[in-house]
Amino acid sequence: MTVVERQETPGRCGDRTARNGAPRWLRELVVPTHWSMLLGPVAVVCFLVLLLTGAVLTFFYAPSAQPVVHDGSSALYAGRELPAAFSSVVTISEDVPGGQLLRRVHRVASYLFVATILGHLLRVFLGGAFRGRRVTNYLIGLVLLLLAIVLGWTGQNLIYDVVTGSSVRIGYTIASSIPWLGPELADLVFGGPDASDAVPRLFWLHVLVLPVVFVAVLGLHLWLVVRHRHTVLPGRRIPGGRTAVAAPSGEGLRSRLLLLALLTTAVLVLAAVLVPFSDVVHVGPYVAGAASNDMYPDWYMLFAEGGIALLPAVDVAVLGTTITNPLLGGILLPGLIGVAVLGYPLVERLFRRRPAAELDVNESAVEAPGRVAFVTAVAVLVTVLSLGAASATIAEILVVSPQTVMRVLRVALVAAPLLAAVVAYWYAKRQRG
Amino acid sequence: MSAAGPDAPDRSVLRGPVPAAVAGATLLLVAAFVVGLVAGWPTEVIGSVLGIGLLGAAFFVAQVRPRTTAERVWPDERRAGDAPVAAAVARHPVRRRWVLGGAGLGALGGIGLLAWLGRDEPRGTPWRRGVHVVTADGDRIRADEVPVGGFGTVWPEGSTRVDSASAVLVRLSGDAEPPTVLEWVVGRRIVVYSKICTHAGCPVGLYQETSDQLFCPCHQATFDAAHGAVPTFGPASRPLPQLPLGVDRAGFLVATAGFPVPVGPVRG
Repeated sequence: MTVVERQETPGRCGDRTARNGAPRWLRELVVPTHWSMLLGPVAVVCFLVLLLTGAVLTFFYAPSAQPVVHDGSSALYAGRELPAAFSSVVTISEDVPGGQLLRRVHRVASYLFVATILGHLLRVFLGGAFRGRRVTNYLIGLVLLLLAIVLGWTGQNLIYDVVTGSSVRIGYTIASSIPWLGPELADLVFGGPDASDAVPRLFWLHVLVLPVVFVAVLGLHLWLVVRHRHTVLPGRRIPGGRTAVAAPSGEGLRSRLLLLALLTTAVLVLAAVLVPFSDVVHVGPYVAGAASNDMYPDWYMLFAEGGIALLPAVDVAVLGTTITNPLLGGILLPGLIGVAVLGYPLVERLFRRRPAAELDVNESAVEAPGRVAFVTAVAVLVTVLSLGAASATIAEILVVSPQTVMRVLRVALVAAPLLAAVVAYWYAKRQRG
Repeated sequence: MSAAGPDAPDRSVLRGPVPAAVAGATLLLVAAFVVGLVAGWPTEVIGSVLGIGLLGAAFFVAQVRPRTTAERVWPDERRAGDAPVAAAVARHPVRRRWVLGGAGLGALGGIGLLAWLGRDEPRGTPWRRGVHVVTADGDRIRADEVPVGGFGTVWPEGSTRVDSASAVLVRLSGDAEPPTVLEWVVGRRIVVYSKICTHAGCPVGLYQETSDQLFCPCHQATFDAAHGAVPTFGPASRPLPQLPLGVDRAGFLVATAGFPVPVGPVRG
């Protein structure tokens, strides 16, 4: 790229870094300086924190449901018979030095991980950064989001607390509801419907298979970002119809990434001090047949949980298989949302043709009201589904019956996304002027 | 975006003693974290020390990092990024066919492997003719000792840890009515159903005595215990399987057969 002007404040090691710093491909990577461009990098930092804390946690974790007598110092559990997995989690929390901090940081990092990936997706989507040749990388990014969610879910179930038993059974049911192949697939992945069968399998998925796949796909994602080059923000126009882009890249990149990593980690650690994420002291171990009213998956899985709660009971036998509610709410509905998000670029291509060169410039959201309407509809749909997972709690707060809450949410499931899309489209169009 | 021009703020006034002080404080905090780890300080203390230490390190890096700002123009002279990729695909049209064919074969092989590895074995429960109904502690239950409005989790004797075998014992507030199988009801009111919800497999853990309704806390599936546990609300489509129940000579509750249909959700 043509360097128009350069201003350098000579730092203590500024000259050295500039001379023999990053390789050429990295120095030529132009990334706009805007906070929204940091969402992806923060997700990568979260992933590194998860790898590091997760690696230490595996030293102490026992992936087994066998009952053992807990020999830790826990006031509540010492001497009691616990499943080995839960017992090891209690030991990490109460007896391993810094173990509780480690577990909390691991959990809160997983939340920030999924949240920043979603934010990154939103940035790419609203700015139209998925257009043209970048559509491949958009698909790969969605695969990363799916992997992140599955990683989070498998990790949550390793704790073997009271939530795990139901959570694993729901996962097993959804997997086995897939027509024809479902039962085999579910038995292969879970080893059986009970949490005690599933925990060893989920452990290997969580600590080995999924992270390796994630690293490979992430590598491809980042390689394609370099290959396709980063999009730019609409900047200052200069003579000749070209755009000036303030883009500190290669030279200072490593120190800026180090800064970002340190800040992100500091925030994660301090958040883990302030909020007792994932503490198991007052959540009992899973015992067969136990259930509680306050069992929720992590926030990013609530929509799937709400899907199977809100969709009606279905039991239709066709072609040697049975179509059931878990298939509709747990596979088809999330699948449809995924296909819609994935297919949007292809649809937009038909209606909004732009010259190839313009596809490298991010648009502001209101320039494409259709995009705003689509994002709003999906967000509202996912929110209503998530509320569906909490209908018992909502009913308690509003002092109505859970049935009433579910009936209202069933109506909202259809009406609210459509209404929100219309309002968002109208608003974006008005803002565009 | 922040275009750093000649009038960008010069933060070099912060250089000098400040970075050195920050670095020293950071090192102290990291040392304190290590000491705390070994000495077993509370999570809040070591977490605060580590978090503030990391903030200090970030501040230090922010102070000493090179401040380089280059302004570039777009579009530039080079060609679009993935042109070589497109050209390579165009040069080797056969390769795509190979890839697609390979993917198809792989998918077929995967499905075959799946069908072989996960062969569907019949999933029974330990419930059999003559197996006593016991509490979680393993105690047999006398039919005449079940309290009015009684509800609880029961197990087949000897298998109190087998999740799929869990069942609920209900003493109804009125007489059981069809489609409940009446010959499997003891004393017209005591009935046992599988505890595994037919919707998604959660334990059906709640019972409302006044209306004889069983609730699943996961997705609010509701079953009418007085009418064969047929679903009355929510996402479940099939009734909870009813256990053939009887009484032995000593008056204890006992299964007269296994569950007539598989417990748990329908599989695809």
